[in-house]
Amino acid sequence: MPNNPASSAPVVIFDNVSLRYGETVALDQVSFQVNAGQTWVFLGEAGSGKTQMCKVMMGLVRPDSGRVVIFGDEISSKGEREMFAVRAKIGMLFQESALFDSMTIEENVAYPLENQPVRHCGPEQIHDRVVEALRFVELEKTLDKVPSELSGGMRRRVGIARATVTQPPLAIYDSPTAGLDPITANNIMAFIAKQRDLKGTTSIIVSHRYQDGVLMANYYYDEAQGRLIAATGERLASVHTTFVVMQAGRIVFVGPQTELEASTDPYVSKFGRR
Amino acid sequence: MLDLLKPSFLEFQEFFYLAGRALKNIFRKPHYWDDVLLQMDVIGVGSLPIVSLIGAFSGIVMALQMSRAVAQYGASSQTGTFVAIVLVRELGPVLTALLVAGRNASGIASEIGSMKVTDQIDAMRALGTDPNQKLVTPRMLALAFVLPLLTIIADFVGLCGGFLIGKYRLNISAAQYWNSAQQALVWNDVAQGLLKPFLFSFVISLVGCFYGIRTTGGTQGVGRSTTEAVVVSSVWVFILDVFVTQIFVNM
Ligand SMILES: Nc1ncnc2c1ncn2[C@@H]1O[C@H](COP(=O)(O)OP(=O)(O)OP(=O)(O)O)[C@@H](O)[C@H]1O
Ligand SMILES: [Mg+2]
Repeated sequence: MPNNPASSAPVVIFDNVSLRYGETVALDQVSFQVNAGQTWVFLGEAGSGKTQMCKVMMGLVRPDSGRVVIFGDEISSKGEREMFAVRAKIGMLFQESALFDSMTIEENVAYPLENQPVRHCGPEQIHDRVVEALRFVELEKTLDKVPSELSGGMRRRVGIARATVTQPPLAIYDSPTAGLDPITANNIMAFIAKQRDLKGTTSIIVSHRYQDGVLMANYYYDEAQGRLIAATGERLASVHTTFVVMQAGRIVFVGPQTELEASTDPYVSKFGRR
Repeated sequence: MLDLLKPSFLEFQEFFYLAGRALKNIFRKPHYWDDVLLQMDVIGVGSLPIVSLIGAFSGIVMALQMSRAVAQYGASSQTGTFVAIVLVRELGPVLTALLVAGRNASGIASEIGSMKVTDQIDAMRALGTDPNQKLVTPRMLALAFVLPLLTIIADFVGLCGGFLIGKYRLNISAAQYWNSAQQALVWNDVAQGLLKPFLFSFVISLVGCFYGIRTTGGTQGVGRSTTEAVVVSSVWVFILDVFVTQIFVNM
């Protein structure tokens, strides 16, 4: 479903968001706006504040100052209980997957369906939804396993299934490819692109790898062929990806791939090379 | 000096905030009864063997110690009285609480602490659950129910241990031992013998959860929280014991 990202409604607004841990500045006056259907890729060195940015977006960490608006709701002032309704619209893959290791894969993926105050489906449909989400990441055979029995790449895929089982309109993927070999990493990115292109999910991707962004910006998932295909013409607009580079909690670059690759800033250009 | 007190004052405040939320959650939906039952099994059934064992030994040792002391007054037949009073009022509740603190305050702190450092606590919040309601309240309820029961069992096994010594070393008849034990216990003893473990249970579960949830700094941090949870909950068991005993002694 090709979207026209330019004209759609704002999904995420960060307005001068700052976050400090004692002396450490995790986020420094961060401002940006993500609209429905868009893809945003956040790059930056270790400790530049990418994970904290994701957690602020999810309402898990309260910023010290600034405004965060998600689907038109200002969340910076909301209480924990009010946040559940907002979080139900966001799927999040945590950096280390954060699967519940006391539960089976099936219970992990079923968790948001069973626990979110917003009802996504009837109790009798939960099993089917879980199997469907796991089939999406090609892991439907691992239902009864526990996370410790899976490889790192498989855990990421379960994490993606758990984040997207409710079909949230916004998905945040924190470092989905970190620590994986290139082939596994590409597979994971293919699932993320598939989710975006088949379900129209607004996607926020944090990564160390520029290739991940390039893939999101230039390929789309073709349902008929069941694989990623280089986007051309009108398709290119639907996969249009905005790149952000962060340094020490600040946004030092925002723009499309061409601009990132043309950047002469020594820090920024480091991230625009394959 | 004031600067030294400030962090511990903040810690207290945080602790009571957590405890208050956990208590409030008893009356709020959703209720995770499955987790309560699971914790009862983990804490109650899991602690049963060690609690019985220590209960038996403390009864035996006490009967042996008492037998010499009371023999001086020619009151060997009253061994049951002494064992019952000391066990039910004091040793049963405190020993059981210390064992469970060592076994389960640490277990709770390390389990929740590892969940914290691997982002599972945040994942819970992200996926629609309040970690306090899902993790703290069930453990608190389970322990409040299970610790008095474990104490009763420890008391009973201890009395039986005392009985073995009475019968085979001091030649006290069964009727004599159990009668003197039964007569020794008035409602005051039983009340404090049950109130104590009930109060201790909150110290153990909440301190365990508190140190678990505030864990930072990876695997090392989990180890640190675990140790702190055991030390702090054990100390507070003793402090609380002094207060409760003081109240009952004055009654
Ligand atoms: N709980 C915390 N206490 C203190 N400092 C923290 C805490 N969490 C994050 N920080 C600091 O905030 C900064 C941003 O961290 P963040 O995890 O967002 O980095 P990141 O860009 O995700 O790094 P990586 O690529 O390694 O995942 C870091 O300097 C980090 O040390
Ligand atoms: Mg990170």
